Amino acid sequence: MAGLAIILASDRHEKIQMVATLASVASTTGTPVKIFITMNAVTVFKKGMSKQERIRGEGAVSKAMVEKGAPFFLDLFMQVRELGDCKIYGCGMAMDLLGLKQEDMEPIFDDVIGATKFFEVAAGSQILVF
Amino acid sequence: MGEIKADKTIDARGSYCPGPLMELIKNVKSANVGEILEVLSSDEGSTKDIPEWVDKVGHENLGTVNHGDYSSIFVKKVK
Repeated sequence: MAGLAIILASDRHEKIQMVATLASVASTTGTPVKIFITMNAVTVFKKGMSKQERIRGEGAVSKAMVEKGAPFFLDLFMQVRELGDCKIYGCGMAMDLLGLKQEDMEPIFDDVIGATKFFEVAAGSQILVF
Repeated sequence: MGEIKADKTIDARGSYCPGPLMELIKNVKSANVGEILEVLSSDEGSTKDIPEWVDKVGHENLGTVNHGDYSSIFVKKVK
């Protein structure tokens, strides 16, 4: 696969966990991954929040992941930036609306960009939306 | 399968996908070429995913031993 571009718009635990898992596996197996974090998903990555505040699950799998201690998505995003070929971008529009700067966010963001720029960095990649 | 002597054992029992794989990747990075790593995993998905990853990135999959409630997956770093 030439590359994977993932647009993460949801703040739901299950979706964010799936994105973290796909990014971990793909980017450490030779597929470059670009993630664009936008809309409500931005709110989960603010600095200083508790784990409980970040986990907004809605189903049985979310509950089971918490109970059984599945790898936490924030840890996976931190790890994947170190181990794989993965870049993570915050959405300028969503962050402007919420009055957030890159320094207000957990240190997983490589940059804060707009949709136009994301299409440029994602050119040629398969795009998935969560 | 004969007994394989690992240079390092990574105990990822109790961790769920992609935890055991990420633990292996972290350790492969710091291992020397030729070293054998053993991953202990109780996650069934990981016992299938890890050999896939090993084949895909070009290390050597030496096999998996099922111990009942967990498995040992042996990987040789070849590059």
